[in-house]
Amino acid sequence: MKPIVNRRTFLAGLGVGGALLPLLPTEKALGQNANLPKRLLVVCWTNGYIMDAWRPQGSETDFTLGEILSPLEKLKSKLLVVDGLGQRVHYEADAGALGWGKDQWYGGHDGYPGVLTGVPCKDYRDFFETSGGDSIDQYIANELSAAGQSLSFKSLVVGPYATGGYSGCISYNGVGTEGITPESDPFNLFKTMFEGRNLPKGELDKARAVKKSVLDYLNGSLTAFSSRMGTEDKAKIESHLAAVREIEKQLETTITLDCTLPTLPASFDTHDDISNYPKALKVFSDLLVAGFRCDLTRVASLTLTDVGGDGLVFSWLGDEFTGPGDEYPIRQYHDITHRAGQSGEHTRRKIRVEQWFHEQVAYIAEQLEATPEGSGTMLDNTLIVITNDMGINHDSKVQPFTLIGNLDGYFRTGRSLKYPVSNDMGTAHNQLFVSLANAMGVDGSKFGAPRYAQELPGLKA
Amino acid sequence: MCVTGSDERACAQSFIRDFGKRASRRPLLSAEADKLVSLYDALRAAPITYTYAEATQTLLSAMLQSPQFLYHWELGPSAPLIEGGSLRLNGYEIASRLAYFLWATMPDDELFAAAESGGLDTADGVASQAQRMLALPQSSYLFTDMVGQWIRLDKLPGLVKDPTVIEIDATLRGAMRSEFEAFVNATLGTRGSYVDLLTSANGFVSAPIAQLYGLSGTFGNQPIATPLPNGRVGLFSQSAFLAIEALPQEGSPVRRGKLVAERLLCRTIPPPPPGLNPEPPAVPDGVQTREAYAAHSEDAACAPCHVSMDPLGFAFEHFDAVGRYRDSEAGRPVDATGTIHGLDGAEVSFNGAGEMMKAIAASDEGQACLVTQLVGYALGRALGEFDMTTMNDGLLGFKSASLDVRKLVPFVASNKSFRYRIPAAGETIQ
Repeated sequence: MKPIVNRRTFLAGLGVGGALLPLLPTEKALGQNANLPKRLLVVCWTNGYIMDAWRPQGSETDFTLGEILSPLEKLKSKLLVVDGLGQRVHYEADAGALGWGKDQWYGGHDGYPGVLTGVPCKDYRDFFETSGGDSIDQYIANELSAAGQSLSFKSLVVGPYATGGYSGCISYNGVGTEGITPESDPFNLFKTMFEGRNLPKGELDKARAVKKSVLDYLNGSLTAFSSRMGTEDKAKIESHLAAVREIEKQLETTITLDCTLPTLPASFDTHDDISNYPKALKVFSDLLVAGFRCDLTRVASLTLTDVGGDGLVFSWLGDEFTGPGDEYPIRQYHDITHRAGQSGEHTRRKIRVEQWFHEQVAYIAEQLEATPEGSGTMLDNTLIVITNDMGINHDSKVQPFTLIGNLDGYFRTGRSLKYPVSNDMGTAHNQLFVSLANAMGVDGSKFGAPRYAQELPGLKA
Repeated sequence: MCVTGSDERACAQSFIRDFGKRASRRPLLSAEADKLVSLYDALRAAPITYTYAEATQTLLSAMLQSPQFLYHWELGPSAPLIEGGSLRLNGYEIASRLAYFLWATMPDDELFAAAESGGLDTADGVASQAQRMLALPQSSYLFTDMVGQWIRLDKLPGLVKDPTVIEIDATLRGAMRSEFEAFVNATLGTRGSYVDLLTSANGFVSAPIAQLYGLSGTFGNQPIATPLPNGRVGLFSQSAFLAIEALPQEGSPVRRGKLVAERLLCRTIPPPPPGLNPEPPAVPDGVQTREAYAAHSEDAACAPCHVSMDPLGFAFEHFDAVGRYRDSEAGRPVDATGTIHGLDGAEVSFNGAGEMMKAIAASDEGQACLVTQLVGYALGRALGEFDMTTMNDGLLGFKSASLDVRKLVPFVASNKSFRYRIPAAGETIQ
């Protein structure tokens, strides 16, 4: 069939997905509650690290950061570096039965959809997979919402140049769904979050009524449409329907904007010209920080690459990052990674890229750290989780984690932790997610595979 | 369209009916149309009070977000019919399948009319529509798209090579694409010839391609049918395939061989097992590409899979990283000999891509693979047990039609896999 525009990308461009929705200024004041909001931001990219350059040297509490984590030096006392976790559930699953068509996993890239889920994917066919369940960000967002939390956005799922459909997804909502396509246009995200804020009351009501009428129609036609479908197809429509209902809920939510809006740069190509990647990421970072500051959302995932990072060329890092690659026509991220370790030059290049990614996350953390909140800073009530679907090997048996922040004292930070790895296979990463959920005030014991549904020991204060 | 002063609500209703049929690829059910009319009414009433133009614009946006437009699940107006445990698709479902198979777009008026009059309820009716559609120019997309997917033509726009090997620019990339399209249109599109696709020695040459192939004579921007020298026969001896399935500096026997095995023989090549270094070997000065890859068939861990790929790829050793011809590499004659293991159960030796392609084109395995590829493309899903009859009948039909792919198309379209489907678990059949 003709490879037309990805259905979800198409939908995103069509309007009702957010651009029409004005943000509604209201009376409800925030922050009067003694309990300050807790927030979670997950940042993920692919292709692993040179682990020796990532792993801190020294003891649990007295350590020096490696080159890759050096951009976080200023925040060292707020870090928890967690080594030795991995996608145990993924490797314990019967790969053949899930469609890999073989009695073993390929051992690389197939773990991307399992980065945050804690259950094996339901179906795996040549990099097109459906989830086995919620990702931890969505699990927490859903639980908070079910418990009555009513924000403009249950969660934000974003990522510069994220391709979505082709396994660019780390956030999943429900079993058998295809993943939430990250919003990849920062200007769209700005509109979704802030447009219409200054509309006069009458126009605001009107825009809201239009949007509501269209959503009502879509809600009804999706329900009727799926009524006769088989279980599997119905599940897909259900997740479509859930997204429509989510937007409907946004309409009913009102907030106070006791916060400063980020200023947007002049418009630039956010789709094809990869040299704009740093600019786009900066806008995303500012918007995520603003989303937290304005309490539009408390859960976000930021995906920095798709499953292989093949489109990412780090031209802004210097001439040695351009030109033809060793294996691929262009020296792109995947190419840089495959040859890392083979020569000093290749290794240095890979480490520099990983360091650069961490500089970008450090920027977000520093913005939060610079925002006073309660008796401390916003970072004290936030947890940033940096992860990657790979360690140094071409698999997800060890998935590195760096946590920044402590969620109001839940985690004891300033430490470097190492969990047991046997036969290359790390300790189940599910357990960290259970801890995250509990720290966010949500029951984590229902998350992921029941056999690993307990907290990771040693994290808490 | 509506003129000033006419009944705007009636206009909206006819817009909903007409556009709804196109967007849903079938007439709207009255309940569906009613919902849209209600939406229209809401948009015109307080507090929205949209104008007619604003309201229809919003209707359009809603219809393009409706599941009927977005998903290929064409229910109604008539309920599906169960025949022998399978569901027979209704006329509109068939029309939609046909249109996306042959044209990659929505049905035209004639196809809608056939669906409405019951003309697509029989195998013969479907076959004759397929023949009509195939005769229209937009059907050429079927062949260029399907074959383009085989050779991963989508990689072409971003293709670059080591500048010390060749400076590849947009002009050359464009010429590679035109050569590909002209060749596929001439062989499959016009003549339907599977054999020609694999073995025709007539290429389509424009000035950049002439330079690449070392042809003298005057060529312009448009590709011209030209006999090609150096045993360059068939699509897989032409620049697009050879340049895409290559590394920045040299050709890639593994990628080329894997593609031939998977796309032309429908063989399954498993991915490298965990822990193996998946990187291609370096090709140092003085060493031939083929020699650098020898380890693959010597190393016990690599050999089991690579013996089924690399030898097929060695057939292309006369062609470098962009498809230029070479007699020698590293100062020694090129060795493009090899063996297709188990082709129709036999060991078939060849010297060069031309001989290999002739053997594949003449084999049951190659011909069955083409049928499989076309059925898979028509259905847009993985094939299974349900499709065995279609594929077996297809192969017999393909052979009796002298391997004419154009005759295979209506055959596939009127067969069981295309006109029926298996009810999904949990589906409600009325």
